[in-house]
Amino acid sequence: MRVLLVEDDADLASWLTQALMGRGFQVDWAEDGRMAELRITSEDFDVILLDLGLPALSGTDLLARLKSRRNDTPVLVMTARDSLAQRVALLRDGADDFMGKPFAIEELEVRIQALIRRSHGRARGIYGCGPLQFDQASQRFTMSGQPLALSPREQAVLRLLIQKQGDPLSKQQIVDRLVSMESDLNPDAVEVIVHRLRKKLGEGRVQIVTLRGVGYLLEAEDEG
Amino acid sequence: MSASRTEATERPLWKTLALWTLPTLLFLMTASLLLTVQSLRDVADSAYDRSLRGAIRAIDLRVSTESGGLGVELPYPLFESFQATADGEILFRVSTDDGLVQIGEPLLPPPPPLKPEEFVFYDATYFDRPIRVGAYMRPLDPPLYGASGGQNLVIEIAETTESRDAFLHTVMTRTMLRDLTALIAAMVLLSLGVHAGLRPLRSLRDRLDRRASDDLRQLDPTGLPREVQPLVTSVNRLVDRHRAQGEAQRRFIEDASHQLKTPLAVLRAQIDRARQLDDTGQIQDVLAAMREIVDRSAHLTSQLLSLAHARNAAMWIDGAPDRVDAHALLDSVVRLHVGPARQRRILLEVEVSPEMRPLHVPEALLFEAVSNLLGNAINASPRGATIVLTACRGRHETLIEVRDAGPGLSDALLRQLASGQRFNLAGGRRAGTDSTGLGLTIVQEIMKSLGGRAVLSNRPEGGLSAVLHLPDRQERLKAD
Repeated sequence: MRVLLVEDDADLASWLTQALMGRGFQVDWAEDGRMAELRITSEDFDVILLDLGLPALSGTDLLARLKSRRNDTPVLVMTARDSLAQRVALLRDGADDFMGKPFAIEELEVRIQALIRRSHGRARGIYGCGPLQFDQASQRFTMSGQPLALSPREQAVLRLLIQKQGDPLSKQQIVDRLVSMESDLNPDAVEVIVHRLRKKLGEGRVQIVTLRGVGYLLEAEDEG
Repeated sequence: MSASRTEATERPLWKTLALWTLPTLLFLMTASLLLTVQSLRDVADSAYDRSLRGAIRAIDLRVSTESGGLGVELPYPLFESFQATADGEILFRVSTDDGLVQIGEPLLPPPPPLKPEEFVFYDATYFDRPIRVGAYMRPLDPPLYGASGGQNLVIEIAETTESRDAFLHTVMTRTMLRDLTALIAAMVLLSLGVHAGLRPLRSLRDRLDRRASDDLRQLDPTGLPREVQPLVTSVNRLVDRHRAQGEAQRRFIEDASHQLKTPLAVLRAQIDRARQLDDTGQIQDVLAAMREIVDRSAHLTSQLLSLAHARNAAMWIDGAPDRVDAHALLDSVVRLHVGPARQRRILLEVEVSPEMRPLHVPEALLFEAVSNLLGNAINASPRGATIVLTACRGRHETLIEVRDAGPGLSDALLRQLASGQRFNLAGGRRAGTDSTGLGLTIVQEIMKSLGGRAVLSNRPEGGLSAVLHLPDRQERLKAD
């Protein structure tokens, strides 16, 4: 797995590189934003570890450029600026994940693995949550390898949930996203669909959690 | 502020005063000059007319009709002295009102209708020269020879007016000169007065200029005019605020440096200890301990920075704050924390009352406060617990509450927070959590800057309730 580490502090870069290499990653180091941009356009990486305070081209600008060019290499932002509002803004601007400095190398590894898994799945059109899998090509859900029989509406809602794992979806968000295919869908209908989906998912290791006042969240039990 | 307004405020005080007073003074002086001229003319006329009347009397006494005709013996000595003082020419005519007899200047303009025994004075022209004429009429008794019925004698005497014009001119010139001098004197006095009146202000400025930049003592207002006292009071309030801020900053730096240096010292000691060890297992133990210290000081550092940020923001709150939708705010706070919460299967719920209105507060600050409370709640709650965030309306305020199902806080810590005591690492470190107790200080600091307060209490059914009170009309940063 190839990781591009974009970090201007040589000490941190050197130790991080050693630690990640010790865990089996292949690490390339770019010292500033401009050099990182060159390498990203000419080479393929599985994940980019991006520092925000960079010389030549700031991390925020680099992120914006990558997203405007539809480069879908996952980006994990590492920054010492950890104002919460800024963190929210970063995720909105296209960062796939965020870690405040300093961080534990184990947690970094877990996050990198998750990002890579998700992006590889996305590349192949396969989304997974525990034993539940969705294959975009065949538009089919499987539970522990067994096909899951779903109505078109149930399928559409579950697809949204599995694609937005980790981020709660409100009823209104679901309605807004499905309005093109279902003109008469309303928030109450979503509630009914979720109720039926829960029955079909059963008491297994995948659950739709309701965060009252916030939205629905698809979760696999062994995740945490 | 418009350009003209700026100009007006930057105009020197004496000019402003002069602009207010000069037109009025000029108007008053012109009016009084005109009045003076009028009354002078009247006075001059009555004085000069009296000598005309005297001349008429003198002629009248010398009129004789005994011969049957009209005879006048002219009072030449009088005329001469008269002419000498009047500086002009004297003309006379003695006639009867039926025009039968005329002695003297025949070309004098005819008099206005006269009544018997009455003196009349009037202006006229004689060969294009302005003259003043006095006329007198009396019945002739007996009438002249051959006259039919009552006959009147008319005596007219005229003088050219050069003399009285010259007199008027002299007096007017003097008056104008006197008024102009008074005007100039008024202006000079005005600017001197302004200069003298502003002297206390200048000395105040000098006192302020001479101050050292770190001198935050109060200004002494004694000896300053009453009008300037409010200014001094304002300056003193400002100085007080700066002193309070400086004091808070100094305390913060003291606390922060203590709290940041201590873990560094611990780390240093741990490294030195590890270097003495040969046993890999023991070294691993030291490393694990070091890691804990690093984690804790990293957390502490970021909280100290948040606190500094909140204090800084409090200083710069101005202008129109954002319109914040409470539901959207709570929603995004929950989304930020949902990952860590779900790792421990904690449920996060949001309840927003339907009568909520948009809040007028800086969004980032309120976000930080709510997020801190939620972070604390998640840390304190056991696995599988439920944390509820609510927003509702109170009396003239908005209430945002975070309720958790954790162990709550000790009474001592609650008292400490309620009394606004500053953070303390030793007292704030709670068993079983990695909290430094700083999070709540940050929340309090933010709420203070928003004009509200944070109230923490243990719920009777267990768990902590943290309520943020946001008043509708934010009290702007007051003196302290």
